[in-house]
Amino acid sequence: MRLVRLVLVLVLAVLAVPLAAAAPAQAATPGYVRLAHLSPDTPEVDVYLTSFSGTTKVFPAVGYATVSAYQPLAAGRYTVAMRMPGAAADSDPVVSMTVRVVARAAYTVAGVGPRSDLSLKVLTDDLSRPASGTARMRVVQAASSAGTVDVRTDTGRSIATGVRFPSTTGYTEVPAQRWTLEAEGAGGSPQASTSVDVRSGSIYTVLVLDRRQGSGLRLDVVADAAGTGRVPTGGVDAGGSGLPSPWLPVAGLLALAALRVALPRRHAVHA
Amino acid sequence: MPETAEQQHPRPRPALRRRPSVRHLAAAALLVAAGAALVAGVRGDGPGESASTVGTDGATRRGTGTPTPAAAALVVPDLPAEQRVAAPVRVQIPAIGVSTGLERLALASDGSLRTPRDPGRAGWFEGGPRPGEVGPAVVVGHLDSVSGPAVFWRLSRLRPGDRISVSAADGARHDFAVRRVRLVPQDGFPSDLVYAPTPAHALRLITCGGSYDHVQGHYRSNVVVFAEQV
Repeated sequence: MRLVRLVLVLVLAVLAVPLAAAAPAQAATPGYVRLAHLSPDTPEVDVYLTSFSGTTKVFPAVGYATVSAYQPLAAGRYTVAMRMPGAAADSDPVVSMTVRVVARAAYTVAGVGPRSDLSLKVLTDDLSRPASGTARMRVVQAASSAGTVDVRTDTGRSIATGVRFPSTTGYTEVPAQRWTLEAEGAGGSPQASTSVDVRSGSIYTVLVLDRRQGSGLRLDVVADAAGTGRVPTGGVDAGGSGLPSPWLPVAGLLALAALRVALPRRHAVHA
Repeated sequence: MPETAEQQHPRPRPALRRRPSVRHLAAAALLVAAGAALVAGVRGDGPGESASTVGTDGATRRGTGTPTPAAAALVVPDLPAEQRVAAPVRVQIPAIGVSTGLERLALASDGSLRTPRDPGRAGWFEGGPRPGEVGPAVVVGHLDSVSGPAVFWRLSRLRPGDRISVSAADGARHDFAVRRVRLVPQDGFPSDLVYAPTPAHALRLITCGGSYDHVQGHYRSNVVVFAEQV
């Protein structure tokens, strides 16, 4: 009897512990990758995103100044490769590199620089929370028509100064409001401007680009991430009475089982 | 086992008291398990668990098999202001039998997030993104009320992969899949995890959880369901 009970108890205990540990549930949390073509004189390319397990996603005929939507990816290593349009998937890529994706992090993998010196660069996209009422912004200088540029608001607030082609600045905090952004090459030319609704808690990348037609600059603003305008303080008090939690029945049953095992069986004296 | 066997020991204990036996140890194990079950409802992983879910290789999620190049459209993402979706009006969670209309929730004067007036209905935080927009949209529902279980009573039972469907005022439907379910302390709520910027079209469902603080009159924890649009 004792052996039977021991086995029963051990089975119960073994079953109960993982049951208890199983909540809350965890699943693979993704990281995020987007792809960008930021090399002014490089023609369209096919962009390959391949996981180390061999799954491939192809973005065909991606042209200059294109930024993809973010792709949620399981954490792990991926290869990003650019090939000429229509080139065989197993042909040598023009450029390629390995990207390590960490859960909850975001990356922009961009083809940058002039065609003669095309390279892939991994930009880590900031997902930390901006201070209340502000947003964050960085500048990617992807215009070969300007050696260095300054980017500022039309009110004179500097976003970045002396940004070389090709390079990317760190993020800077800006008050959340509608802004007109201006870019200006060294010596006052070329120039470009654009308006953007900068929302509190969100994160942006300002792209300084060559115009598609003719010469000169243009500005494009992409959202890296959106947050919460005014973040609530503390937790959420969304319970009213303290009804027994769903775990109480489980705990109760186990406690009863413990009692049952621990107490001498009264009817045993009749045996 | 006969009780008399124990009485031979020269200890000043009544006959009823026996030395620790397998039975006792087993009972203790069960009690520990019972405690663990209780604690599981209280345990908060807390913020800063960045490493806990890292390391799942692409192989597990993205399936196996030969490379199958699939064309995917490249688009320049719109600015959030330009992709404003209509306000949400209903949340449906088939896995736990929830279909609820939505109140609008704002911040209270102390900066905390208000909760729905009606325990039978959930609410969405209108100070954040709308479900379907980029960013962390937040929907709150009560766990219980003085009259019994409320709309999100079973929220902690959701598991990764369960679907959440949000209907918007313009008739559009936004579908989300649960990524993970977390129990977090209210005192030390991981705001960075719940409200931080994200590139995803994300949804967080929040209710109470853990043990009830009868002195303060509220639960000590929150259950937070992290979901992303599918």
